[in-house]
Amino acid sequence: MTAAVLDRVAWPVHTARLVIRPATSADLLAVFEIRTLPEVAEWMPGRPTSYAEFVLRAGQHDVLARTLVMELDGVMIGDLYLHVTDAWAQEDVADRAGEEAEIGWCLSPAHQGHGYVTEGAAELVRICIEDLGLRRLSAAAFADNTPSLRIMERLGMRRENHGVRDSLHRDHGWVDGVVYAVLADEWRAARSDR
Amino acid sequence: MTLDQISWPVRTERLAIRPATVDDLEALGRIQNLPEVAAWLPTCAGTQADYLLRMGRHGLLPRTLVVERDSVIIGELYLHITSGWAQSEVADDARDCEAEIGWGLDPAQQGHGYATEAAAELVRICFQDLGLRRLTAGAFADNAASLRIMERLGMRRETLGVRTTLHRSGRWVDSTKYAMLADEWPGVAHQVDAGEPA
Repeated sequence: MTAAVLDRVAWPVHTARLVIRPATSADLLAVFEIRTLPEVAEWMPGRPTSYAEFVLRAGQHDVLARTLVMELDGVMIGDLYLHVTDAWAQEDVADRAGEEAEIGWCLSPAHQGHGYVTEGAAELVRICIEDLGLRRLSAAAFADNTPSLRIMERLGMRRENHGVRDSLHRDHGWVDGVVYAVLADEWRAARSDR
Repeated sequence: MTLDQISWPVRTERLAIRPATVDDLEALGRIQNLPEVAAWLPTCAGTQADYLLRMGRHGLLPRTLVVERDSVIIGELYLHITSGWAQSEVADDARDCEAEIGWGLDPAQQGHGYATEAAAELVRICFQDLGLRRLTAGAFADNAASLRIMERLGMRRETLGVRTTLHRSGRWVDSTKYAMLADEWPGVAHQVDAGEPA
């Protein structure tokens, strides 16, 4: 179903300042170096202890098939997450339900403060809805990850879930998580209003 | 304590609860295949073979408990123990610490509070016997009867998903998820009012 989902887009995709393309194994070292920074690891699902462990885990979870990189003037400054899944449906109509995706983002702290991640994530939303024809996008975060929540809100996503102490953080214990979502028709309506 | 260390059946005022066996599936399948029950389930009404195939495909038998009244099966409970979400370094600390729960009652038995009585006991089993820290239950947002049970159990609404789910009517409908933490559970001292119709 989703194995070659990224093949449906003509890469690279250009925004005003960024180039977005699927990640390759050659990008993993740069992604690893960003992920090991303490301020990044704080909110990410894992903090890699070594490059080998990071790449091994990437293999286990098919990370390359779900990762895009953002480049600024030829330099990799962060990555985008795109995991396409089947939409939820009663089983007898499942073949009519189509696809949705979970999305995410991670920017090198050295490049924060210029709106790059919002620019990249907004383009990711457009790719998902216009190029891939997905009907719903969701994004999850720790509830205290304010910068990421601000991006979700800027993208036009609505908070659909607030999980009370449902997420175990390595330093903070059980803390709240949130899920935001946007439907394709909501995104299109917001866009035509602009 | 694990599920198989519990001394089954567990009895409530009017009901007996125990893990389902293959021999129970004919009665449970008959209930699930009723159109008014299937309307709110992920599955569709079909034949007994369809029901058994689905139970096998998704490995659902170990997650199913039967609810009996006077030795007659009147419904079932769903109990799926899962791991909590955790950052990968602490994933071991979140292993098998939560469960998704659910319930289904024979429509002929509705209106007596049996579903609430059984579900309340399931919550007690999860927190007191199994030592879980969090329970969740999901439903279509329009399944008012089920949502009322969640609220009676003391669960909070955590999710309202807008048009997340394709119903066989062809409409995209809203879904909800409720949750409760062990330290929020009112406990056995708090008797759920099982007298109201479910």
